[in-house]
Amino acid sequence: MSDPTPVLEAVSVSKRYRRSGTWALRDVDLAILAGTITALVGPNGAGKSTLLRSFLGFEQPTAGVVRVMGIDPQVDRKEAIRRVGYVSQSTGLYRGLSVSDHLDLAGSLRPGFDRELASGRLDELGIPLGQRAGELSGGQQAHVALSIALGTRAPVLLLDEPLASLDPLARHDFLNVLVSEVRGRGATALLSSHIVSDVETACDAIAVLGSGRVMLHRPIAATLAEHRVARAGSEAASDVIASFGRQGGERVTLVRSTDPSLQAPSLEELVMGYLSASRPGSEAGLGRAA
Amino acid sequence: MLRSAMLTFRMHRFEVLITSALVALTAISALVAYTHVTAANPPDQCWIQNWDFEGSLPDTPECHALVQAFWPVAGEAGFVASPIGVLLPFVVGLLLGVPIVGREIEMRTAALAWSLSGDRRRWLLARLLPMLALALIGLVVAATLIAEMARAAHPWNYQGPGRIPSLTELGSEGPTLVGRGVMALGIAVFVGALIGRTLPAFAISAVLAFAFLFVGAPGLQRVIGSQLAVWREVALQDDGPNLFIEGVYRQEYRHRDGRTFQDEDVWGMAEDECGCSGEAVERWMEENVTRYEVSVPIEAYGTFEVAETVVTSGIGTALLLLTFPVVSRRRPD
Repeated sequence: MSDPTPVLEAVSVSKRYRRSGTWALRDVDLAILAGTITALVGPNGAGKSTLLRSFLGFEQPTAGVVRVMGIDPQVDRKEAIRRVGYVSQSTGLYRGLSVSDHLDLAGSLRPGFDRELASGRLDELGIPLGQRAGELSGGQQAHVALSIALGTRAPVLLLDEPLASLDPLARHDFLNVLVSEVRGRGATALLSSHIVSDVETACDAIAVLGSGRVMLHRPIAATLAEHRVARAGSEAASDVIASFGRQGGERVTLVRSTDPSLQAPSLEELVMGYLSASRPGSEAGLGRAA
Repeated sequence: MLRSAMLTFRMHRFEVLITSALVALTAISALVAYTHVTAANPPDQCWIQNWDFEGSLPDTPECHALVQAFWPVAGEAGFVASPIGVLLPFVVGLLLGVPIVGREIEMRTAALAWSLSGDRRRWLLARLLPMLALALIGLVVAATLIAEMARAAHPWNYQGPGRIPSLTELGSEGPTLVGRGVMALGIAVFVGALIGRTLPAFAISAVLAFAFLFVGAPGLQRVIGSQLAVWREVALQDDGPNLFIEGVYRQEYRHRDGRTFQDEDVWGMAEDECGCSGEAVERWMEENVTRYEVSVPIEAYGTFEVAETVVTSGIGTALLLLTFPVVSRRRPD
């Protein structure tokens, strides 16, 4: 049972990049509950990284506020970061440093860093501590970054597309480690990804970000149960989320319904429906359906 | 602390190795040149003879031969002082300074480091201090050895009536070399943090550093020189040997109404004011203009050194301190 207190909060957050003038986030409200693993999904440019980086104080919202366990990182970055472990898509490892050096570095930067936990995980995965990070495979680098994040023993983990460059087996291994660690110590994780199929088994909840807006944020099981796909044109208008093309070309519509005569959507179809609804000029009735 | 310093050196091992090798080569070159010039240095009496322009002392063939043999050996030392000694502080400062923040941002390692520690000042201090210490130790060693070498290679600067005060070594040895290195490091760290890209930061830092070398340093030396200058009244017709101090020496002409004129302007002014030409101008000038030699005595060399070192290391320190708020507010990539 999850603690209903949000550990990560975004309240009316908007972010506009001054140089390009583009809005990465628009009036985003999001509350991630303690003890959950939430998938933050959306296409490239949806604002996933911007949102995650806002929780670290790396991005300053143009409007609104983000909080990590009640702390605004723009007000007290030190305290906010103390509560967070972070894995970025690029991993951020020093190519010329050994894995062991990285653990030393983490120990020097983060008080209370659990080197034994991190090195133990890496031992289990057969990643040699003496190897330079630049000589590791993409999957191994992701595991080193995850082990460092886990070694912080932070109550909150932010993972910014750590699966993007990994092969299916490496993604599977990564998620296994993540889930067992997070569940094992009751931490909270927000995992951004655009590979929906991978997060389905690992995550409790899903937040769909499209065009800088949160289109959906619900527990996965519940939201799958509340939606159906219908052949385009056969659905009741008031329940329509959006129409989209399935693989193979068939055009279907995602509707909010529990009608057992209609087909249950896959998580990917659910996300496709909500992302289609977020597109500018979409005929979708997200507003009507919500 | 030591472990953190070693990590910093391993992060920047290429730059650490290159700069250490450059400093070591410079130090060895200075030592070798010092040994050569010391061995070839003629006795003091020979230098006194050599600079006796008025010919009151006999120029013995032995001394003449020794002095002539000394010049090529001194040239060896001159090459170590310039360009090596002149360029070394800039190369060391730029190579060690740019990657400290610039490459961390470019390679996105700053995101990992800054996600582990919310206190970016502490992070910067941990990265900066070992590199600064390495630069200082290397430059102090090189500067000391070059200074000893230059002293041995210019014995006439320090003895005898024929000594010629010179500022040619300023910046290539002693504390000025270290000060310039600190300034170059400060520029490189600051620009690296602002730009977050190694190559552009290196290029911009190099432009700024060399702007100092070719424009700022001579300007600064003129300012310092004007504060330390000695004004000596000389006869208008006096063509005798002057004290020559590179970049500082000049002649000035002072009109009896207080206006001052340079060499190239004084004759025209005199012609205009007296409305005459030829010898009449000279006579008019005798009555209305006083000529001065403006020189800086060799004893002021130490003051020059201190003043330039304070200014350059002050600029470097200020830029290093300014890097802290830049890093604190910056996005990691």
